Amino acid sequence: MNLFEYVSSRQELVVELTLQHALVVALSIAIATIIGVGTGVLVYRRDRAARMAIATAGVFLTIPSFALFGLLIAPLGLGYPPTVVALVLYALLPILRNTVTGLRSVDPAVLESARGMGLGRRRRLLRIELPLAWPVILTGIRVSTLVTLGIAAIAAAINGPGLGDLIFEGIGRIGAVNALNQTLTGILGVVVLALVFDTLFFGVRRLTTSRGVR
Amino acid sequence: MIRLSGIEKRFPGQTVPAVRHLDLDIPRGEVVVLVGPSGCGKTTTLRLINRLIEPTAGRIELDGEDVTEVDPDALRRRMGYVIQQIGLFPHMTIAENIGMVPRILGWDADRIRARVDELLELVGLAADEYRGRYPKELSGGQSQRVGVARAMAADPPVLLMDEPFGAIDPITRARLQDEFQRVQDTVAKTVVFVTHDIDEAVKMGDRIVLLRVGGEIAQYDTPERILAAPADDFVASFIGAGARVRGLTLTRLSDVEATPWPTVEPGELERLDATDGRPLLVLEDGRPSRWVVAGDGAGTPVDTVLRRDVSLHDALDALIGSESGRAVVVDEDGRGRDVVELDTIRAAVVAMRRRHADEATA
Repeated sequence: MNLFEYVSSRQELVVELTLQHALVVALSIAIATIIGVGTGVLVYRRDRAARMAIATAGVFLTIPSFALFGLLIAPLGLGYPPTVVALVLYALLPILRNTVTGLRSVDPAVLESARGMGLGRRRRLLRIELPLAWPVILTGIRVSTLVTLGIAAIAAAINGPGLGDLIFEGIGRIGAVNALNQTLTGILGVVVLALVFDTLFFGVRRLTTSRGVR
Repeated sequence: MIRLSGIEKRFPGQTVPAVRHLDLDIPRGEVVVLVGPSGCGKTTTLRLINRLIEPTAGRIELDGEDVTEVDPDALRRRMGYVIQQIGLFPHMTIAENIGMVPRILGWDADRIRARVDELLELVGLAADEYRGRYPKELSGGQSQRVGVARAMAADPPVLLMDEPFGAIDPITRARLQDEFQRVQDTVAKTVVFVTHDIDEAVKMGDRIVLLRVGGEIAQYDTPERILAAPADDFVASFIGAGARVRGLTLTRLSDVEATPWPTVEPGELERLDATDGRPLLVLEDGRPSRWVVAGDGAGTPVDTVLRRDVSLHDALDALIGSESGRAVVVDEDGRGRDVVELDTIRAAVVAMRRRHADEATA
């Protein structure tokens, strides 16, 4: 049985695992975006706070993923909850850092004129700063998504959802019939998802970025 | 009217205040230019008016209302603000940029659209062509026009302008200055204008506030009087050499007396015999054509004619380059027989200076 035949024979399972994988990543990224952008907005004008927040998010990213998944079993059990929490922690740094960078790179003259026209703090943030920082923030979200797609495969170790199942099981019985095909199918699924998400981000970027700043 | 009384600004960590006790009345509908050397506090003073910088002490009044403590954002919506770097919002179209303050003030969409088009035409940009563009698609001069239009969007009574034409090439700058004066003639805003360029101050200002370091007013006066009668050595040195030549930009040729000149018609040339050495002006159909002296045949062509509405500065410039040292003053049709010479302008300058000196002592 070659790889193609293997995938066709287990089509239903592969599709289900791929959708699970996409879902858990999308959910984690959505949560990480809310936390990351929110934290970025709170700290970008305070140098010390910004450095501390970014350093903390950086620490999360250095914890080996296998270890972090394992550590989360005790408080959160198995399956979705520890997976999502771990993926959110990994996704934070690029989103937070790009939010801070993006907000800080808004032209001071633009802010000065906005202030001089009578736009208050809230309006400046919502109407001027966030829209102008958005392309940079979106790039952070995209990087986080790609990082998380790979890490999510490890979640299979704690009974998490997604394509990691195929990879782990295949590796566990390597040498047996179709073990290699099983592993390759999992990897291929992650790669295909990465391409799909990337295309999606390209579209989102075009739709949500003003023609004036493209 | 804007009234600043006893304004002081001390920045944290500074021993010397940036502005120390400033009293200033800015009359309604006039252009008042703040000018002075670097560090004189002119930009600080401007930003104190819309409270981008909060004064440490003192009082700001707008049309009799104390605005020292009102909500600063609401205050700023009553004062247009234009800065040198313009700061158009790059992610918004020109129409959205101009419509920003009206939108905040809750105008309905139709009214905003009409206002945007009106303002674009006022600053000399075709509304159909520009309203949908983005700032990056404009030249520096066009951006600055949009900046001025945006500042006037909600028709505020006051415009604050911080070196608005400072970063623009000299030719475009002169054009924008002229256009702004034309716009100001129709809208008659109370304008506070900051510049470091005394020539721009003289050109734009109904009055000039000359500041020295520490935000202290060295002289507050009309451009004519600052140039003709500087209050002290600091003012004189800031105006620098060439104050009288600068002052010539403020007077029109129509304000000085040109001399009616003896003329002849082309047909009379043969009968011309003795003149007193001064050439006669040959008029063809009422238009000056040649200078002739008896016995000199055809004479020399008239090389310099000046419209009545040019400044004395331009007149002087033309006369210095003129072969004959004379220029004929003409109307719109090119007709006229009055003549100005270099000496006419010198005499006008002397007379003006004497008049300002008399006013100063009176």
